[in-house]
Amino acid sequence: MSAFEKKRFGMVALGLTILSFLFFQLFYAYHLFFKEQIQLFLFASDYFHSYFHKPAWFACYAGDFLTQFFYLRGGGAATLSLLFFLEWLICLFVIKRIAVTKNAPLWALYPVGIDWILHCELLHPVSFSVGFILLLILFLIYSMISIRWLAIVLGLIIVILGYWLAGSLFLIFPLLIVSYEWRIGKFNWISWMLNGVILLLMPIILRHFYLLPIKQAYIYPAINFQSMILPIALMIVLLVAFFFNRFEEKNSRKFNVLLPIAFFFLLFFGIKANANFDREKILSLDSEYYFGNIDRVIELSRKYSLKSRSATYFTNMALAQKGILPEYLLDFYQPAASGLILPVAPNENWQSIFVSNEVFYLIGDMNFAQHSAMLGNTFSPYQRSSRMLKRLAEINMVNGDSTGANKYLRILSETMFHKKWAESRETINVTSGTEKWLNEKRAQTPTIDTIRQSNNYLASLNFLVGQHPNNVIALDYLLCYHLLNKDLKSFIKVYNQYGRLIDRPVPSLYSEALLIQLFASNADQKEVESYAISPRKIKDFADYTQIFEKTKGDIQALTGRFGKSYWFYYHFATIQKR
Amino acid sequence: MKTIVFSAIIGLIFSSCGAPTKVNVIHTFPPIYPDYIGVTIPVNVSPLNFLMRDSTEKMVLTIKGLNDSITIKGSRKIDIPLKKWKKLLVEEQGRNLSVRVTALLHGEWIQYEPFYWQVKSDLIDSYLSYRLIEPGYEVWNKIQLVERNIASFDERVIADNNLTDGSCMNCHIYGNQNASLSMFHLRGKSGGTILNRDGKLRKINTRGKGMISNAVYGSFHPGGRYAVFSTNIIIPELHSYRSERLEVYDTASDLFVLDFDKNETITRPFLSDTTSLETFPVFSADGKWIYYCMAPAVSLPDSIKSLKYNICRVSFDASTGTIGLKADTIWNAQKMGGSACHLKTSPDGKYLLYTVADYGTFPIWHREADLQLMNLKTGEIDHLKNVNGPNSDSYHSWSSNSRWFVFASKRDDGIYGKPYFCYIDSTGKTSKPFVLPQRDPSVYDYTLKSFNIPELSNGPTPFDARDVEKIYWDQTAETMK
Repeated sequence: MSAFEKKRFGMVALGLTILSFLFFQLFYAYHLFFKEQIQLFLFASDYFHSYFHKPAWFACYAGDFLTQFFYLRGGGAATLSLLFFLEWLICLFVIKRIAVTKNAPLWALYPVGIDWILHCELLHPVSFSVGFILLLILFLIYSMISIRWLAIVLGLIIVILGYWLAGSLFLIFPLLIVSYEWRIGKFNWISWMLNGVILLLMPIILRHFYLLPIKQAYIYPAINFQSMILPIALMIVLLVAFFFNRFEEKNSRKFNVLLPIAFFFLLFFGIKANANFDREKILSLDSEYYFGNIDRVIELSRKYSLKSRSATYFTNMALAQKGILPEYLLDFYQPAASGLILPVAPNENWQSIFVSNEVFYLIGDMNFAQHSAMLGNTFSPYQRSSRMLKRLAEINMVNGDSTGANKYLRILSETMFHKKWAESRETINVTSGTEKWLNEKRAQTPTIDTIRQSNNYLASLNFLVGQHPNNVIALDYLLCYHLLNKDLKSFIKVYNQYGRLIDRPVPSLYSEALLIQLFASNADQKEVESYAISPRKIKDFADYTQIFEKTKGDIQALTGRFGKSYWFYYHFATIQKR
Repeated sequence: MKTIVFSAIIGLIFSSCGAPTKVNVIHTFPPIYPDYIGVTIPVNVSPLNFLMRDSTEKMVLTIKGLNDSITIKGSRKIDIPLKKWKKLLVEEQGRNLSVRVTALLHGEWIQYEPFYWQVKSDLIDSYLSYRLIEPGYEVWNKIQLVERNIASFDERVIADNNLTDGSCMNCHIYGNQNASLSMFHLRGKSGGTILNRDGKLRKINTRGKGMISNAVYGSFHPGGRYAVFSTNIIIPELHSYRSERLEVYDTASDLFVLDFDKNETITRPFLSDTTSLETFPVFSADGKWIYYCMAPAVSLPDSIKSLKYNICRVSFDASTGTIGLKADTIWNAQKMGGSACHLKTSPDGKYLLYTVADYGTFPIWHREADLQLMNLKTGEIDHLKNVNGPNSDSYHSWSSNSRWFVFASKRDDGIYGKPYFCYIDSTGKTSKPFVLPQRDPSVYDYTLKSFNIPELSNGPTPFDARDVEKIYWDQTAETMK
C-alpha cells in the first residue's frame, strides 16, 4: 500500500466512524434508545436456545446482544459506528478481491452508507448488519482457498450453514462466488448452479421447520423487505466498480473526488428520504419521559412545537407530573382530548400501544396500565421488551403482588443493564409501606372494585377521582378531558364536586372555563367570588368578550393576546370525530 | 511423607470433583423450583429437573428406590439423564423414591431433609397439547398450539398463527383423549373449526342460521359423530382494584350439538333463549348426557357478582341425534356459594371435574378459582384441598384411564398459567400435583407465555403446522345446515 493509499485509508475509516457516530449521537440518538427498549436480551441458556427456532440464530443473537448497548447514552452511536467501520473494512477487501479496484476504500462506503440509511428505520435490526459482516467474512475465507476441491466443499458447507447462521443475507453468497471466480477465470458451472439452487430453495425447504410464511423465510432476520436493499446494494457496487475499473487508471483523480461526492449525495438524500426527524423528536420526548427527565420533556416540547398527538401526550404527562397541566395545557398543541390518553385499539399502531401505559401509570390506574403494558409487550416487534417488563414489575409492586413482580424482576436481573434496577427492587418488601414511591402510587389507586371496558377512559378517570379526590393528577386529567371536548357541563360538575377541594390557586385554564360557564348561566357576583378567580383573569375575560363582540369573532383580532386561552379554544377549535 | 502427599493429591482431586465434605445436615426441605416436594408422578413422566432458588453453587442429587438409585451432580440446576431416570422409574414403580439434595451454599455443604416422589404404575396419556399465548387479555399476536411428549422433552408445534395470517386459534380439544379425533377453532378471514379425524382435516363454519356466534367451548361425543358447543358473545372488562385484573362475561350464550356427518346443528329452545346463559358443555363418558353450566340472565356488567352458573344436565340420544326436553340442576350455584365452569367428565364416568369461582364465567383471572370434583353416582363433592393452590386453578383435562388429570394453574406468580398434573386413585383420593417438567427448569422463569388449555391425548396428533396452513389458505369452510 502506498503512502497515499494508507493516508486515504485512514481518512476514510476515521471519517466514516466519526461521522456516523456524530450523526447517530447528535441527530438520531432517541431512535437507538427506543430500539433497546423494544427488545430484551438475557444471559440465560433457555433464551439462547430460543434463537434456534428461527434461521439466522447467530446474527440475531449477536445483533440483540449488541442492541443492549443502545441503552447507554452514546452506546448506540458507538456500537453502530464500530459496526459500520467493520463493515467498511471487510467490504473493502471483498471489493478488492472481486472488482480489483484501487478505489475499494471508496466503493466500500456505499453499502455501508445504505446500512446507515436503513438504520434510520425502527425495524431494521442490528442482526442484519451482523449477518452482513458474517457473509463477507465467510466469502473472504472462501476466496483465500486456492485448492479447488477444498474451495468447492467449503463453499457448499457455507451455503448450507449460511442461512442457518445469518438468514436471507446469504442468498447473495452464490453471486459473490460467481463474481469472484468469473473474474479470476475459474468457471465452476456445476458448483455455481448447485450453490445457487441450494440457497434459493433453502428458505422454502426450511420454512416449515422454522414456521415462517414464504415472504418472511426469504427476508429473515429482516422484518421488512426494505432491509434487503443492503445485500442488493453490495452486488450493484461490485458490478459498477468492476465496470469502472478500466477507467480508473486514467481518471484516478476524478474518481478520488467523484466517489466521495457521490457517496455524500447518496447519504444525504437517503437519510432525507428514510430518516424521520419528527419521529426522532417524539422519541426524544418519550425517552426523556421514560428516563424521568420531566423538565427536559417540557423544554424539548416547547422547542419543537410539534403538531402531533404523541408529542402532546408526553408533554401533557410531564406537565401533570409537575402539577402545572391546567396552567400550560393550551401553550401546546392539543388535538382535543386525544393527546391526553393514547387508545389501545386494533387500529392503533404498535408504537402508540407501546407507550400507552404511561398515562395510566401516572394517574394511578394500575389495571389499565397493566393491560396496556401487557399489550405493549405483545405487539412489540419481538414480543419481549425490557421497558414493558420494568413497567409490569412496578405495577405488580404497587399492587402488592410480590410474586408477580418477582417474575419480571427475575427476568430483568439476567440482563446487562437492567440487572441493578431489578436487584434493587427485589430487595423491597412490597407490603412494608416504607418505600416512598410505592406509597405515593398506592395513594392514587382505588380501594374498591368495579369493572369497566378497556377503552372507557372516562370511567377510569371518574372512578379514580371518586376514590381519591386528592389525586390531583387524575383530577386534572379528568377536568382537562372535559375542557378539551368542550364539555363545560361535565367540567363544572366535576370541578364543583372535587376541584374546589384542592388547596391551590385556581389554575388559569379552569378560571377561564369557569368564567364562560358563569357568564352563560348569568351567575351573580357572589357566586363568581365563591370560585376565587383572580380579578386579573376576570378583566381579561371582559376584554376578550368585548373584542370578540366588537370584531364579531374575528380570529385575527384575538390570536395575539388570547390565542392560548381557553376562551379562544372554546370558540375556534373544531373537534373532528375519528 | 509420600502417603501424605498422595492423600493430599487424592483429596484435592475429590474436592475439585465436588464431592461434599463436612456436610451440615439440616431439617428443612431444599428451596427447589418447581415445587416437586412430595409429589406423585406417573411411571412414564420425563425427569423432574429443578433448580435451587438460593445461591447454590453446586448440588448433588441422590434419588433412591428400593432396588435402584441414581446420583447426579449439578450446579444450581439439575439435569437428570433421561435413560437413567426411565430405568429407575420402571424399576421402582408402585413405590416411593427418596430424594436427597446436598448443596454447596456460601462455601458450606448442606444436606437438606429428604423428600419423596411416589411413583405410580398408572400411566398418564403421553401427550399434552397447549396453547402458548401471552396472558394478554382479549387480544393476541403470536400464538402456537404445541404438543409435548410427557415422557420426554420433545415438543412439536401443531399450529402457528404466523402461517395463518396472524389469526387467533383456540379451544383445541380431543375426543376420548384420542389424537385421531380432535378439533380447534381457527379464526380469521379464512378460518373455521378444524376437525381432525384420523389425520384428515376439515374446515367447518360452525355458525348456523340464527346462532349468535361461531362455536366456542366444546366437547366430543364419545362416538365421535357429534360435538356439543356453546356459542358466546364475550365481553372483556378490566377491574379497577389491584390484582383483580380482568373480568370476562357473556352477554349471551347458547348450546347446540353439531352433527359432523350431516353438517347439521341441533338444539332446544331452552338452550338457546335469552333468559339464561348456557356454556361449557361436555358429554358424559357414555354419551347419554350433556352437562353444562347455566346461569339466569342478569343485568351486566353492574350485576356481575350476581352472575353465578349452576351445573345442569340434559339427556342426549345419539341414535336419533336429539336433545332431551328437560334439564336437571345437579349443582346449585346459589346454594353452593359459587359459580361453576369448565366441566369435564372422567372417562370412566365416575366424576365431574369443574372449576368454581365466586362469580362469573372466566375463572383464569379469578384468584379464588379452585377445582372441585363431584362423584356423579353419589353427588359427593370433594373440594380438592390438597390440589388447589393460591391463585387461579382452572382449565383441566382427564387422562384416558381416569387416574390423572392436568389443569392450568397460576399458583406460581398469579399471571402465567402452567400445566399441573394430579393423580387420583380409584377411591377418589388425590395427591399433590406437579408442574410439567422441563429440560431446563428456568424455562418457567423466563417465559412470557401462558400454557393455556392443557389437553391430554394418548398419541401425537396426525397433522402439523404445515397442514393447518394449507387448510387455512386452500380450503373453503363447509357450512352447517
